[in-house]
Amino acid sequence: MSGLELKGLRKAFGLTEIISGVDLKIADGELVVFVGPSGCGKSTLLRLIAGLENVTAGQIVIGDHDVTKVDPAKRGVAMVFQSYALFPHMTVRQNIGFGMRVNRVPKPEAAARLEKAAALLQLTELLDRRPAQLSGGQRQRVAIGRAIVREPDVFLFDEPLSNLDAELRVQMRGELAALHARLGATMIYVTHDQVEAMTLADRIVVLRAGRVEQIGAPLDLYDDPDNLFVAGFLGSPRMNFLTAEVQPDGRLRPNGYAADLPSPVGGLTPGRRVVLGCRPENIEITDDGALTASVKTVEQLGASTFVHADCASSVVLAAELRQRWSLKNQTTLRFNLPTASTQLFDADTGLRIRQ
Amino acid sequence: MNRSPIPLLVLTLAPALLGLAVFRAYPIGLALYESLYTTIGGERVFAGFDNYLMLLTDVGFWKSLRVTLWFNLIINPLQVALALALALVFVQKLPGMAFFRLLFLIPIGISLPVAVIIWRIVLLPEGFLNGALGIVGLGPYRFLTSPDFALYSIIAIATWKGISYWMIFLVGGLQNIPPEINEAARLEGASPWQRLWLITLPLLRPTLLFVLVADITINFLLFAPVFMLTGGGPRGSTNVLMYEAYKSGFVFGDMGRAMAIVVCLVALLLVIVAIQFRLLSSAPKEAK
Repeated sequence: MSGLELKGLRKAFGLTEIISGVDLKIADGELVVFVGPSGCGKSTLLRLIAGLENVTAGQIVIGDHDVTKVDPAKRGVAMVFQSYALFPHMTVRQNIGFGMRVNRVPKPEAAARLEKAAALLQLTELLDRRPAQLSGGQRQRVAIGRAIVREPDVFLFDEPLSNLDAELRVQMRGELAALHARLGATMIYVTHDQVEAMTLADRIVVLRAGRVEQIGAPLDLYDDPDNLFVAGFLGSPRMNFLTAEVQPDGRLRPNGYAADLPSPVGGLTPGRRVVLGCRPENIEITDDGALTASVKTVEQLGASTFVHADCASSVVLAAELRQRWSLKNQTTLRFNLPTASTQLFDADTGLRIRQ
Repeated sequence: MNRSPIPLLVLTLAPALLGLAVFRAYPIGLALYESLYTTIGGERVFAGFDNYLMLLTDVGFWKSLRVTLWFNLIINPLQVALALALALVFVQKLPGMAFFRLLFLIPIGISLPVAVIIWRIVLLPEGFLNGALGIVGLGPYRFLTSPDFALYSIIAIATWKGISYWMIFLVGGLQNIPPEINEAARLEGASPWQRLWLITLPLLRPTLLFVLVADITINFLLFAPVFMLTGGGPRGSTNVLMYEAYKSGFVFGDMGRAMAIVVCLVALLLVIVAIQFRLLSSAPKEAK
């Protein structure tokens, strides 16, 4: 096991730059999740680490070794693919043992490693089946087994759960977390699913258009995002954003409203355009609220209720309420944004404005 | 919706079945029927299995059969191996591949007679190839008129013409293999050679089977290059069964013998194809 470091990593396909300079240090035994929208370069970044794509510029260091130009098989990485990439003509046993076979691992040792991995992943009964005879979750476990027996320094997971149905996904997510705890291995996990990112990660790397937007522990990113993108990406429904203008007295006036709200940050230049962010669970719906919105839909989930309402300036507000609520559509509701749980961003750069 | 689906089935299958009957079953039946007759003094006479019995002791037939088998023993593995090699090159992402792809595809667009004429010019004693060999002090060789060379010249021409076509099928098969499977094998440490033998070829097996069967069928029935280049000679060295049957029927007027040869050829082909399906399409033993 060992850590991993990316230094100024760049990747271009022709003139299109996919990864535009990524610096990242991953500690030994850490589970880091790359998350971002489609096309943000997270899979490409993983493939660069695996060696399946050549680096355009920069360095990849695993442990103490610069592996930037090392053959994929000799980097000490094992990868679990989104499609699992099992060999369809081989049994589970042959799939898991493939790497040891081509690397001429002595038979007794190979058998022992295979037995151990199969037991760990509850595959012992399935060893003589072929991939086509397995369920999605079982295939997933075979792919993980194939990675485990290689005893890699770093595990790479490329959206491993996205081909599973919702229930199985939750279950496999738990199994992966348990596996990480048991193996204590360094893992990099790519997903576009922010719930997976939040639940699995020691640290999350949020990527957009080939750049790192923010790196941090899941709750740190959730509570303290550096910019509008990270604030909007993590959390569902996403954070509410109201564009506002700083008034001469330092208070904020949301677009389309005649009311002013206190600013979470002092000392702002009057006239500056800012974005006020507030998570759905922090919205207060109260009769003496300063702002109004017209109810569009109400989603009763049992434990909580989501209210979607049209604000002035055609922004849709989402509020999460603990109590059950039934409001007719088009009803006007009044709400407040509690100043302590709002965040302020610059409207032009999208960057967080901190005290 | 309680109506029987059978009329609909018959209706929708009718065009294919009709085609099959007219263009396949009827000629085969006709050949079988004709092979039971012989022509004596311009009269068609029922001969029973005499045509077949005479083939048993017919030196010309056996020699022709030997030529046919030898020809196929060389050309089929050669064509499939070369087509596979070309297909493997074809799918690589290397600079300049577009040009090579075009180059590979040219033979498909050239009709066989045209190809044969071009190759004849190349292979004649005063032709291009002998000219080139002459520069390095070799030859001239009689590529088309020497019993040592003629069959191999025909193999070369048929191969040149055929492999690009088979390559296309194999390219299709290769592109059906998900790239992650090869990537996974690569990450596991499999060398390119191991990936070819352990991953690509097993997964390509259905396509390879099809290509092999189709290729053998075509080569067993190959006629045009022999007809155009050597006329079965020199000294019978290129006299494949198709040409022997042609000569028998259309040159010597013995249609009964010609049909008997064709029927033997088709029977032989069926046996070979059946064996291939047995060997190649059954999953390996550990499949259970």
